[in-house]
Amino acid sequence: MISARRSLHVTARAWARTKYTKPKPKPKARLNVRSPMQITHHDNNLQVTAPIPPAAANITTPDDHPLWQFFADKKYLRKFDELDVDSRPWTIPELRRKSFEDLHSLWYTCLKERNVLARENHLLKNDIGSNQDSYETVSEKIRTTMWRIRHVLSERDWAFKLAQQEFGSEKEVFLQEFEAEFLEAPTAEDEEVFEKLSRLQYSVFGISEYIDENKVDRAFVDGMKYVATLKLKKFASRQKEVEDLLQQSNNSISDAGEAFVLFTAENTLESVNEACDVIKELRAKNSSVSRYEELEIVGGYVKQLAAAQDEKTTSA
Amino acid sequence: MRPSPATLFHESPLSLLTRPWKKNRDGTLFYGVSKSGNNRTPLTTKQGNKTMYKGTRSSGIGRHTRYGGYTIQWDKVRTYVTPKNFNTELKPLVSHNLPELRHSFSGYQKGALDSRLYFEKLKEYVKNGKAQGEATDVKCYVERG
Amino acid sequence: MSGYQHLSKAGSRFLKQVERRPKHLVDHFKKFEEKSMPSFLVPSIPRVENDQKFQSVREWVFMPGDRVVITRGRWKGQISVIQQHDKETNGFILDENGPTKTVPVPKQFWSEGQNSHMVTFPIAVEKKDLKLVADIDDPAAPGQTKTVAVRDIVFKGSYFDENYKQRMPFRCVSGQEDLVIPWPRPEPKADAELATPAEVAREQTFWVESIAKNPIPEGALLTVRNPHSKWRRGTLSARDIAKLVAPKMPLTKTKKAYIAEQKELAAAPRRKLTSEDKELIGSKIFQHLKQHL
Repeated sequence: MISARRSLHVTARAWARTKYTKPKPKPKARLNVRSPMQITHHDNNLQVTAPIPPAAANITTPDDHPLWQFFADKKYLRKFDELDVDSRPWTIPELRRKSFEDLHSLWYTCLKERNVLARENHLLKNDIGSNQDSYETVSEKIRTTMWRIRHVLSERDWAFKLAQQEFGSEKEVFLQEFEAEFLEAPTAEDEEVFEKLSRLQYSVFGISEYIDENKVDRAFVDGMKYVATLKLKKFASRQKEVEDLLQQSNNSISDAGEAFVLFTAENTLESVNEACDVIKELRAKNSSVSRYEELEIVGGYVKQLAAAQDEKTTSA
Repeated sequence: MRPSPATLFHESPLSLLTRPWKKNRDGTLFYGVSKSGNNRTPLTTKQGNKTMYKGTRSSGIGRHTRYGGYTIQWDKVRTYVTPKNFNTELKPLVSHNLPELRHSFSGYQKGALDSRLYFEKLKEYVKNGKAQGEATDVKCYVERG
Repeated sequence: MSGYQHLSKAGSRFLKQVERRPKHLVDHFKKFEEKSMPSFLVPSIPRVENDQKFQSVREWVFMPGDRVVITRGRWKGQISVIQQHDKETNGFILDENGPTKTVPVPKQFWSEGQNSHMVTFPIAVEKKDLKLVADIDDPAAPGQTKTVAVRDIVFKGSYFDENYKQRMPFRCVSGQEDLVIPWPRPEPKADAELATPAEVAREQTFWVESIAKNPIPEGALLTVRNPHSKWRRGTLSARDIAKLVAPKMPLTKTKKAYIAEQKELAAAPRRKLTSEDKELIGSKIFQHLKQHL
C-alpha cells in the first residue's frame, strides 16, 4: 500500500521547492589538491597478515627516548654490586672552588641520578618486595651533595654582600695601591699591566670587557673616569703632549665625554695620543657633558659602540 | 667446602628468611615486628576515599573559566633553567681516592664570610687573573679558604 | 598499607615512636627475633644500637688487613687476618683461620655451585677478644724481627695517611710509646661509576672576581634560599627600637636628693690617716690587749 502520508510528504516538498531550495550543484573537482599528510588505511586497502603476538620484543623504543633518563644503562634494575657504594659526597671546600655554571650543572646531574635511584628504590620496595635501603643510601649521599651546593651558593652571596657593605672604606686604599703598582711597571710589561687594569675595572666598578654586557650606572661612569685618568698618567711620562693634557685637567679626568674617548682608546701610545687630540678639540669647541646628564649620554655612546661592534662582527 | 663470602649476609634472598612466623587473622603471613600498630599517622596523598583530596602543593597554575576551560597563568608555572654550557664531567659524587679538602681560615675571624678575606681574594684575582689554586693539586688536603 | 610510604615523610614522627622500643620489651623482642631468624643469620655476638656503632678508626683500633690473635674461646691462640668490619655488631670478621660455624641452609637459599645443606660461615669476633700481632726488631738477635702480640694500644698525635686519604692517629704500644705499629694498607680500588675523577673535582673554576657584580644571578637566589622563611629574623629599624624600648621614668624628689648627696660625698676630700690617728688606734689596741691578755 502506498501510504497517503508518504506521497504527501514527497509532493509537499516538491511543491514547496523554489529556486532557492534547490540543492546546490556540486563544485567542480579542484586540480591543485594536496595529497593527505597522513595516510590512513581504509577498507579497500586492508590486508590480512599473520597475527602479531603481544610481546615486549615487538615494542621498539628509540634510543633517544627522553624517558631513558630515568634508567641507568637502560637497565630495569641495577644489581646491588653494580651500585656505587665507595664514592663520597662532594665536600663544601671542594664546591667552593666551582663556578656557578659548574654548580648548576652538578645540581641537575645529581637530580637526574636521584630520579633513577628513586625509581629503582620504588621497584625494589613494590615489585620485588624487599625492605633494603641500598638505593636509598646512595641517594642520601647525593642529597648531601645537593644541600652543600645550596649552602655554598648562599655563603658566596652573603660573603659578597657583607664585603660590599664594608668596601666603602677600603676602596680608596685598594685603588691607590693598584695605581702605585700600575704606574711603576716598566714599558716591557705593558700588556700584563693593562690586563690587570681590565680585571680591576671589572672587580671594583663592574665594567665588563665586553661592551654590550655593561649597564651604564654611576659605578660605570666613575670607573670609566678612573681608568681614563690612569691611562693618561701611564703614558704621560712617555709623551710631552699627554703630560700637558694631564696637567691641564688637574691630574684627573672629570668630564664623562673625555673619559669615554680615553676609555675606549686602545692601550697604545698612538691611540692615547689620538684620544688626547680629540679631547683638545672638544675643549676648543667648549663641549662638555654636564654631570646630571652623564648617565644618559654615556649610555647612548655605549649603545652606539655596541651596535658598531655588532655590525663589524656580522660583516666579518 | 669453602665458606661463602661474608658479604653474602646482606643479600636479599637471605633477608627474606627473616620473616616472622606469625599470621594475620585471615591467614596471610604477617611481616612486621609488632601486631599492635599505630594508625594515628597523617594520611598521604594516596590514601583516603574518593572525597579525600590532598594535593602536593604543585597544582594551581591558573583559573577555571566559566565555560569549563582553564586559562594558565604563565607566571605561576614552574620553569626550570638549565645551564647554557652544561658541564657533563662533574658526577654527583667524588672519587674515594681523593682526600677530602679542608679550608682553613686562620686569621679571618668570620671564616668564609670574612670581608678581609674577600678583599684579599679580590686583590689576588686582579694580580694573577684566573690562576689555579693550591688545591688543584690532587694531593693537597688543606687550603686557605 | 600502600607502597608509597617511602616517598613521604608523613607520619615519620609516629613511626619513630614505634621504633623506639620500650625498655621492658627489648629482651622480648630480641628473643622473638632470634626465634624467627634462621640459624645462619643469627649473629654470634649481640647487635648494637645505632648510637653505639663504631664510627672512627680510634674506636675500631684494628683495620681490615691487620693480623690479630684470638685470646678467648675455642680458637684461642689462633692468628688470623681481619677481613672486614661487621658494622651491625661492632665485630671483626676474620679469614679462614678465624672462628666459623657450620649451619644448615634451606635449599631455596642455596648459592650457585652449592651441593650440601651444611654451609660454613665465618662469625664475628668482639674487639676485647682480639690482640694485635706485629713484627718488631728483636733486641736479642739484631737485624732480625720477632712476632709479638700487643697487649694494649694507645693513640698519639696524627698524620696524613696517603693510603687511607685522611688523617690517622699514630698507633703506639702502651708503655713503650716510641713503638708505632703502622696501619695496614687497604686494597686499592678503582673509581666507581658515580665518582668524579680527582683532577676534575679539584679543578678551580671560581674566583672572587668583583665586588660590584654578584657572582650569583639574581633569579637563582630565590631557589638557593627562602627570603620568607619563618626562621629568618627580621632586622629592627631605629623606629622599631624606639617603639619597643620603654621611656626613662623621671626621678622622684627623694631620689634626686639622694643622688645629690652621694655626689657631694664623692666630691668631698678623702680623710687621710695622720700619724696622730695611727697612734690613737695603736694605743686603743694596746689597752684592749692589756686588759684581755
